[in-house]
Amino acid sequence: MRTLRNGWRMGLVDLRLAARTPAALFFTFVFPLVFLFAYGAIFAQGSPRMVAYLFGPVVVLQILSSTFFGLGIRVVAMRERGILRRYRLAPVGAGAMVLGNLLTNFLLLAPTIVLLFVCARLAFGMPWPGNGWEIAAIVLVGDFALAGFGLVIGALAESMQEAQVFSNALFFPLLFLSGATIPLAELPHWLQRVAAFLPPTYLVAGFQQAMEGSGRGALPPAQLLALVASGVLGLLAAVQLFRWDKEERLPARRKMAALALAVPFLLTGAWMNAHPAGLAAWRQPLAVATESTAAKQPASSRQKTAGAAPRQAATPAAAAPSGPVLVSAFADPGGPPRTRIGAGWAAMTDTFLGGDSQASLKVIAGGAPGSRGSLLITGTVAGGIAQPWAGAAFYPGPGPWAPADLSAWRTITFWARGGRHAATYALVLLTAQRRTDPPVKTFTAGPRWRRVTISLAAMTPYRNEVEAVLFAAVQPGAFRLQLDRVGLR
Amino acid sequence: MADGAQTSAAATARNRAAAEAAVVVSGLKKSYGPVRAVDDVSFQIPPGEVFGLLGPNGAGKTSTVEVLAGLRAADGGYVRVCGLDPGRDGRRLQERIGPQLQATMLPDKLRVEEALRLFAGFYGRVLPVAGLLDRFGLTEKRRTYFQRLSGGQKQRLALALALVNDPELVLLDEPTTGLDPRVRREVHGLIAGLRAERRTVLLTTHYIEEAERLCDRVAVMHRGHIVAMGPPRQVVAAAGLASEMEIRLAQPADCGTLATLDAVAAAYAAEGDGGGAVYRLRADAVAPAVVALVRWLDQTGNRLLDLQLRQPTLEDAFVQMTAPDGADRGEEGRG
Repeated sequence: MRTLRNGWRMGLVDLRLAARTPAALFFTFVFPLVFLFAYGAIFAQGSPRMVAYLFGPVVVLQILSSTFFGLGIRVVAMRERGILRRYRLAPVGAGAMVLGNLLTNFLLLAPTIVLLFVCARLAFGMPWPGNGWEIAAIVLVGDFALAGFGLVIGALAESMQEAQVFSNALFFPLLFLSGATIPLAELPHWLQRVAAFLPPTYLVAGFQQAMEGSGRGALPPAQLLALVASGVLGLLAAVQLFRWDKEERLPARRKMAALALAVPFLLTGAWMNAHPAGLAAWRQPLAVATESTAAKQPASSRQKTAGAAPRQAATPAAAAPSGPVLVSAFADPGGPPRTRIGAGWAAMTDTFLGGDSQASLKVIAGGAPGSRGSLLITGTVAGGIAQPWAGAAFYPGPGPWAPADLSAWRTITFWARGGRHAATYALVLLTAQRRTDPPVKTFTAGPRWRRVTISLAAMTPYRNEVEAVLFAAVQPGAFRLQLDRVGLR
Repeated sequence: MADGAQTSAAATARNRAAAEAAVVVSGLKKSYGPVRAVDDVSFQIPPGEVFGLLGPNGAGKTSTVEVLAGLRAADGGYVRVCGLDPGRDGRRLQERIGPQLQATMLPDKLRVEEALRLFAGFYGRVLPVAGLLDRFGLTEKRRTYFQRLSGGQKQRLALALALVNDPELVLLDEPTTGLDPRVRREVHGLIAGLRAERRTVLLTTHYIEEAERLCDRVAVMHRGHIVAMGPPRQVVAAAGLASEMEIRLAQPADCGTLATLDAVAAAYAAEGDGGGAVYRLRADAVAPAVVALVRWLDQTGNRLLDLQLRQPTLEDAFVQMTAPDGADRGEEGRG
């Protein structure tokens, strides 16, 4: 209790001291922003989805630098300057000193992360994270785990110079191998295996998962456990090895005991290497993120080849009507497929994923009972990739791929008619939050017109940033699908 | 601890003494590798006394104080501070002692008042911060960063921090080392204030005049041992140093005759400016020597033009007791 209270006191005082030190403020607040803008401008080229993808690395970088160069070195500096000698004479205790240090670190980090979010949002239009609670938990747990390392460095280093050497020796490999600078998927496979042993890797991957809000739990329990364990071990080691006086020397045997900190990661790393499925999961987020940027650029050119230029809607999604709306009735055979809201329709296939499928759109006469026309989608679903598809996408936003808020509508209804034989088709919601395996709902269509109602609400809770609604054929071979009276309610 | 060797009666007596004295040290030993920094040191400090540990650098003063403050474990001997064993009750002891060990360093950007409030927060019983600021002349500087304080102000803050928990025993390790003479006097005044409050004070110093001025009793330490202990005057007397009298006579006299006077050990002729003959007499005791001199003047009709008395100081005693004696000169103890 007393340790907590004194730790709190020390933390608040340290915070005040940091606020009076321009260098500390720079590395706390300005430095991460420089990285955000550099990453955002250079790698993401301003694309909100890529910024969201790169946001995790920026945050992990800040956690790394604040723990290794803030936390760890602060203790050594205070010891070297003889400041700890005075605290030692008061009934403070090593526990309170360590807790205070940890608290300072976190109190400086939390506002930094918020600032980063706000800046990324304002400057790049980065979507809000899919799961805010998960983000907060990852930052907390990640900071705690890496603080364990920083604290132990501070406890082991005999001098400022030594602390710098230790910190740099760990900081750079962690930075380069964890996916915080170079995407994990770009690393050779053996390095990916090495990365499985490094705690920041879990954080980068977990953060990216949480940003997408995949809803699957961003950190696997084993990784979460390893992170918490390393924080706890680091905290205990730092208290046990705490030195108040630079004259004090630690016996080598006690120094070695601090290596126990690495055990949780050795275990998790070994486990992950033994179960490559875990490693594969890390390669995924990047693959999907690059797909979406790839999808973004050729979108306009694809529309031309598909021969169905979407009509640009003047009304932005935000001003869209919220009641039931008939999106498209396709009442103008021979003309372009018109829409009430959004940017229109476009053919879309798996070519940008390396597939070979084809699709084209045409508004033809005749449709659902009593309808003047309908949208005919024809093409071929070719093999070659794991999940080939082809179909038509409806862009609900003000432009192709611009996110639109569809949360006012809970269901989508449409009339559908397939080929001679009934086949399975897929309705896919492409959302900003969930680029990894987007929500899919299948429906069947056969030779007769049939009304289909699909609950969007049941597909995903995140309907506030829908980029496209895709109607796709998924069975290999030639296909023919007609759509009519597409509506939202 | 050598407790087993003690008879129970001695232990009881010692326990009683421990209950009464603020500090009891008996047979304290502390070594750093082969170096015996503190070797069989014993002393007691009754409550309210200002006790000085005097000695050159490396005499073992700081080691002794660090054991008392619970910062170092003793290798042997018996130590009680405020009735507590510093080795075992360190935390409880910290509540009751006010330490100021050598140069006190605080974070550069900590303000004076913040430092006092921070430390006050660590203790159960505290003195009001405003009162401490006022008493140590820091009220005007209370918003000043530690790094901007002068040496004297830093030292006053250090003393104020030592007093923040209203301690029974104040431990001051070289409180004036490195300060200029004016600031040193200022600090002397503050320590005299502690004495007036009847706080027990243990201070170490290598300034003799500081010990002479401030301490009720001093212990002179040399190479880990206490070589003399008592009130400053008594320590000087015990050193058996002779006083020196310089006399100027109207008429010359015979040195042999002067040397036969009561209580005079030796007499030398000396150079003197101005008129008359100057002699230097070494006296074992000043008063009888002066009486004998006056009688002799009456008898011989000589006249005393001037008399100057130079009594031995603690410094003389100190220099004599801590003189390096060639043989073990190379040995360097820890301070």
